[in-house]
Amino acid sequence: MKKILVIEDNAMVIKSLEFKLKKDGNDVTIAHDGREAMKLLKDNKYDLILTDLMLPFVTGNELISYIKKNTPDTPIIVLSTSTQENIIMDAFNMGVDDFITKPFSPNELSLRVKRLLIKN
Amino acid sequence: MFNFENFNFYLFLDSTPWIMKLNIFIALFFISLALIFFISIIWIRIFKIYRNEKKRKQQGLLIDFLNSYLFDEDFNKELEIKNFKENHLKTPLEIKVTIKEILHFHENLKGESARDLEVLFRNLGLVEFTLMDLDDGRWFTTARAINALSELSIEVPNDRIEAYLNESRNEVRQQSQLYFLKLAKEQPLKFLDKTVRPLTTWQQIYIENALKNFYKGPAPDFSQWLDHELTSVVEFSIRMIARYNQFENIPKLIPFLKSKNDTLKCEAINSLTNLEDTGLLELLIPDFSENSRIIKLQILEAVKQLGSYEDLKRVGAQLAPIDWELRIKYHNIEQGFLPEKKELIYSQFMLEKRFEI
Repeated sequence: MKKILVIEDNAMVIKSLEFKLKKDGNDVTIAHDGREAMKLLKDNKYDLILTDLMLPFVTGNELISYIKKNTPDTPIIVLSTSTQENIIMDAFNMGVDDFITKPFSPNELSLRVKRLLIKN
Repeated sequence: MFNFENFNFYLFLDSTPWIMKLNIFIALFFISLALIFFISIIWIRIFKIYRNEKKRKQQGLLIDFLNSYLFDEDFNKELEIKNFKENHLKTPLEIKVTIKEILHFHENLKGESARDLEVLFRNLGLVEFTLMDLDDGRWFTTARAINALSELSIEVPNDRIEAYLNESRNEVRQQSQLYFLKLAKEQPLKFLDKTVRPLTTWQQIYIENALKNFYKGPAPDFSQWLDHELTSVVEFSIRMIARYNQFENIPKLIPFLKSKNDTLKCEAINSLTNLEDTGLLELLIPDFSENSRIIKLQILEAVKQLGSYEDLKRVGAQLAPIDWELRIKYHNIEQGFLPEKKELIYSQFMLEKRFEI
């Protein structure tokens, strides 16, 4: 069972991701904001991280830098409402593995998660 | 000590002076008023807590129901929908929360899941409730109903929505415009023919956004609304001609350069500048001084983007010596044409700063 950390503040998106990813056989942990995610990341190791960019307390970009510094091999998927090219480019330059824009297709997301988990 | 047994209220009233009676009456009136007010606040609070609790319960139920419906292959859709409809769609509050939650899900999901939600909305019989809301008469219910229909791509006969295109409430008009835009296969702005109320700035922004992000058909020919009765519609069309690079419509924009309406004239100059119409400056510069300040500023902007230093000097010759706003703009543009002059001014500034002149 793969351990996935979902960092997201939208309750509806959280529930859907949790439901879908658990259905796919993963062990899903939820962090509702950046601060909670930081705490979880200090004490646990994850096979994949799924994060929003606009988060309370600690932004998605700060989180990505933190993850890349401490566990550079953990794959990261960004799930964001932003369609701006510079934001997407910045995220990839920071080392994220995939970028999904909201509204998102849960089936597509599930496939991308599976692909990254197999790859790693 | 006061003896209650021998107290006679009527006797007491008879023996009390009228000013005391008035005082007692006023005191009693205000005490009862305060009591009614206090009880009402408590009652409203209790009602709100009860309502919120029911709302939370329904939301929790819906999150599980919708997730299972969308992602659980073992979920018996037909049976579960029937059960949900019979047991959890009985009160107006339950219906309202369900519509809102489905819309919330739909807003965040796309692809197959979004289409499944549209089917679910129909199967739960929520279209009928939405249509009832549409005729409710309260503007916010009507606006919400139109929003639900457009978000979930539910088509209803055009005349049902057209009736709201000229509503007094801005929000209702905006939602009906978005309905036509989001559901149109072609001619997304056909509703403008039936619009008699001016488009607000926000409506223009929303229409443009919906045209770019939701409408998938061919771009309409915006010149068909250049002779519309509403200035705001004409203004919007002129702007869209440039946004959609409809170069073939340049000749139709030229007459607006002679318009008496500054808004239209300004928009036409802006659009023709963006379309890089080479003949524009020759039409504008000779009559520069006859224009209002706003048009003069727009002409200067056009010279900056399309013209040469010679064109700018021709405009400069027509500027009044004390017209500071225009002169400042003129000199700012001049710096762009003469980079060495800009460098000279900067060197002079640095020199003065260094020696504290």
